[in-house]
Amino acid sequence: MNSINDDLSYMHALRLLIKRELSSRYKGTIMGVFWLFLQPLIMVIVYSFVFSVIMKVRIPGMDNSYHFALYLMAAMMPFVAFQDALTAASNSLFVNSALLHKSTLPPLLLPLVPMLATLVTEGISLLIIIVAAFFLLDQVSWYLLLLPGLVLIRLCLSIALGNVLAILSVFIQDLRQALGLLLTMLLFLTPVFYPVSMIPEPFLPWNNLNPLFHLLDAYRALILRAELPGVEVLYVAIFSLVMLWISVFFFRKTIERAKEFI
Amino acid sequence: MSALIAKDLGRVYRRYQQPIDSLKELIFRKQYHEEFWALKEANFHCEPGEVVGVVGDNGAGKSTLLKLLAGTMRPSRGELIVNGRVSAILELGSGFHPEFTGLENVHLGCAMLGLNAEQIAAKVDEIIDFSELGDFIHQPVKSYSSGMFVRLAFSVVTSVDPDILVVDEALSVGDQHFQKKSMDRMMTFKDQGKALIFCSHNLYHVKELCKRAIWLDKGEIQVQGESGEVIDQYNDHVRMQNRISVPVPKSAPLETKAEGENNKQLTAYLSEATLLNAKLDNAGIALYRTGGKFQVQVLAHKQDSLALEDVHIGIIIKRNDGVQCFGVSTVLDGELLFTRQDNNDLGVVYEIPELSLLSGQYSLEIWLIDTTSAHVYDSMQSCCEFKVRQPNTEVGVAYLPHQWSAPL
Repeated sequence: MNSINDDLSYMHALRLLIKRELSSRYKGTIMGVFWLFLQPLIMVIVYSFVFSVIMKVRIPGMDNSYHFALYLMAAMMPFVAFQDALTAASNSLFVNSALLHKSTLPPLLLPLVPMLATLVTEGISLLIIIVAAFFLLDQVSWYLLLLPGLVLIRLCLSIALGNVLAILSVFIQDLRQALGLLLTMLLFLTPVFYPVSMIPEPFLPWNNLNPLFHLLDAYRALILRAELPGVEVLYVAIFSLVMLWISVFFFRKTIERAKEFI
Repeated sequence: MSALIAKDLGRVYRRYQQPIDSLKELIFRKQYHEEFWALKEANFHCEPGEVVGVVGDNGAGKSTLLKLLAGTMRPSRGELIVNGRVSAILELGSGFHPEFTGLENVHLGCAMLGLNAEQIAAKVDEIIDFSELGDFIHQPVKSYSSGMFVRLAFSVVTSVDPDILVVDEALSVGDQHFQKKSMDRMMTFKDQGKALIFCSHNLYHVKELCKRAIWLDKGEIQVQGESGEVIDQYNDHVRMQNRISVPVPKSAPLETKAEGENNKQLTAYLSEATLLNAKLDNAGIALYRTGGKFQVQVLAHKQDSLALEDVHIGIIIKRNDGVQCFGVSTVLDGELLFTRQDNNDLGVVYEIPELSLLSGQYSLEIWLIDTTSAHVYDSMQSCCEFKVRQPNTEVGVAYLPHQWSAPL
């Protein structure tokens, strides 16, 4: 078994793979690197237009007509990053079978590469939302400096689940098919499109068990409410770290078996 | 210190009904698979400055062994001690990402071999230069021909200054020019005291390049040792499989044909064929050196009704792949058989003073015929099995007398 230190000697390889992962998305396109900005930007514009101009959705306590769109995006963007990370992780071993079988690269890096790449897209999305919140809602605060911490927790949680998914997808082929559905369910069951106050009393305890709810609400707290996130986010952080540790153990324990089926 | 030591190295492939069974196995500690050992109890070592060849049929476990050495696969059993950096060029496209350009793969390949950014930058030009890929270096490698692939792979793995180089037969894909170039580089490596593990179907290559060789058969090391001997033995095995429908040789090298009921109805029959002055090898098979003396004594019996001139003996030397190397008869040479105690007991000693056959496994076909050579009284097929070993690395069936002289 490789130790973490051995894996770190592959830092440069990891950098190259991430660079390549990102550049492959817009390679050959006319807009080039702007696509990384364009995608979240257009989402923000479309959502704002649909929810604020056409549907005029208002949630109690929000006066500005753009508020709901930003309220939605502030949670939606981290969720999209989470979703992208898990989807990419579940495909990672299949997509990289050449590297898996024919190189000495530690297999743990294979799901890690696309998951780390989501940092870039998430970062850009958050930047756009922060700028939009400043211009549309006049909202900005020093608490934004805590945002990288949330992104890090989001990443740990993604990697923890991603490592397990990458392996399980090999053993249970159905998982890759079901994953999209499961993630959509998760998106709708987590208060992203609606405020937590709309959840009926009997379901609240269940909602509180959902680490994503606390995490996404913390994003909103920093970006839109200019307040410190609740203490629950610390629990989520600890939960994510423990899960991460378990997932690395699980991954290493099972990867040799998984390789036999790829 | 050995560059590489393998102790009881083994690799199992497990077959499951469905992938999930493998996971169940891990959790419930209950066996759900059928095993197939691709490599069993391999013990060998490789010293710095040594070239070790690996030969064997397809499916003998060569690739598995090389993958273990290269570190792209973990052994299921045993231990592999590696002293130094291993660099490997395995099957086509090993370690390359098909979507990446050649240049990106150079960077990635070097990074995976443990080089950092500056070290890679210092080597990139030399690598591209050696690969002779020119502008193609900016194309995705999935568009490369197999030759281009190998050129790039070889350039990368040999540029990172490995201590141990593992080379699969992939190299044979390159053209003559590149093969020469890569051979030269490999020989430089050897001279620099690096260890080379080399696998090829070109046995001549292995014999020429390697000091020691390993013959793998069905996942087990059949023979290992001095490459000439290992290759000769492997060749015997290969020819055996390729034989042109020869009856399976009888195991006893010096054999006697029993006088059965049937023989009495023949007017003449062969009674015995014996290899004379033969050394026996470990397996009890007669062993000759190329250039040595070869003698076989054949005894026969005729009935009174036949005259001495009516009975002749023909002997054909056959290699174990069915090739008839040389055959001659007393009719052809105008000789007569000799009589023994009784006028009806005949015999002759067939002698080749300097056996010119090269390494191989051979047997005799002996015919008892009449003066027309058309009528066969009796015959012995695949008898007197023997082995020949040559001192040098000539190729072919026989050593032909020759000379080299100045052009006219």
